[in-house]
Amino acid sequence: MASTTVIAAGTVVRGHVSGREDVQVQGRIEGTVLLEAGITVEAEARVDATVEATNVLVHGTFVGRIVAREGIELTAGSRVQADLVTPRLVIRDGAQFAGHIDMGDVPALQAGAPRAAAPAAPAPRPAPSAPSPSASFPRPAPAPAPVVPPRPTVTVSPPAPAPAPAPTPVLEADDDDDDPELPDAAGRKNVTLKKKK
Amino acid sequence: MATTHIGSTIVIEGEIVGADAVVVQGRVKGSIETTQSVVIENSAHVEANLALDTLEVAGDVKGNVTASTRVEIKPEGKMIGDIKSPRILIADGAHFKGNIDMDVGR
Repeated sequence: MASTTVIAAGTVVRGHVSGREDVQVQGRIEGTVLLEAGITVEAEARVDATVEATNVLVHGTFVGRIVAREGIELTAGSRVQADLVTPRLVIRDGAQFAGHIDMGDVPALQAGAPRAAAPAAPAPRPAPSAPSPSASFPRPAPAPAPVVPPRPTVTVSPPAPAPAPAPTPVLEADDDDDDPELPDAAGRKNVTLKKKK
Repeated sequence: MATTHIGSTIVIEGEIVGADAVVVQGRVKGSIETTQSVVIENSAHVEANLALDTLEVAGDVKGNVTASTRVEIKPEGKMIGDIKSPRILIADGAHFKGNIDMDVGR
């Protein structure tokens, strides 16, 4: 397990390769590769295969299909013509790629956060759903915030007894006929008016 | 020359062809063909025809071997198949079943 399998530069493997340890390809593989570990395709290497692995790192040439449980990275100088299925994908500047990419469900795609939280593949999916709403809430929050908190915190203190709700509508009707639908806003206006008075 | 290394958890069904030394700790079913040496380590199971320069067997091998230089079966090695090689070493304790032909290089 500790060892890494290496396909050296002068070696061609044709057929089916499977295993539970990392594979480093400097030469060629043609066929299918099924690993419960990672595979690295080095710069001078060429792989024509269907590959299923946890992580796939391509510096060289890859033709075929990659299914990665965690992630795929195509580095500068890599040449890839393949269909990719993976929850995480990095295509570096200088990589050449043609093919279809499937990164799974829409929620996973919506969140920009999961890539930052890269550690584990399974983790990112639940994670993004949580952060994304939290990220979305703050945005709407700031907009109403300036309107609501500042004035009330300062001005409400005197009228704090808050008889406001009941009586205010009446006052509103008198003072502000245009905004009957906004009791809160009207209340504040009344508050400020009361202060002024 | 670099060495192709087939780790202990790796299973290859197919052919390995090249000009690199090959070390096998895992399983290979098919064929191995190289101009360099091949080492079948203790943990390895190889069911393949082999064509190479030198072969060292410490694991299990089932298949025919053609070597241009030498075949050595270590004490812990087990081999079933025919060997063609100008030099053949079989260590005390090794298991072997098959034909041996040492006229290949001539």
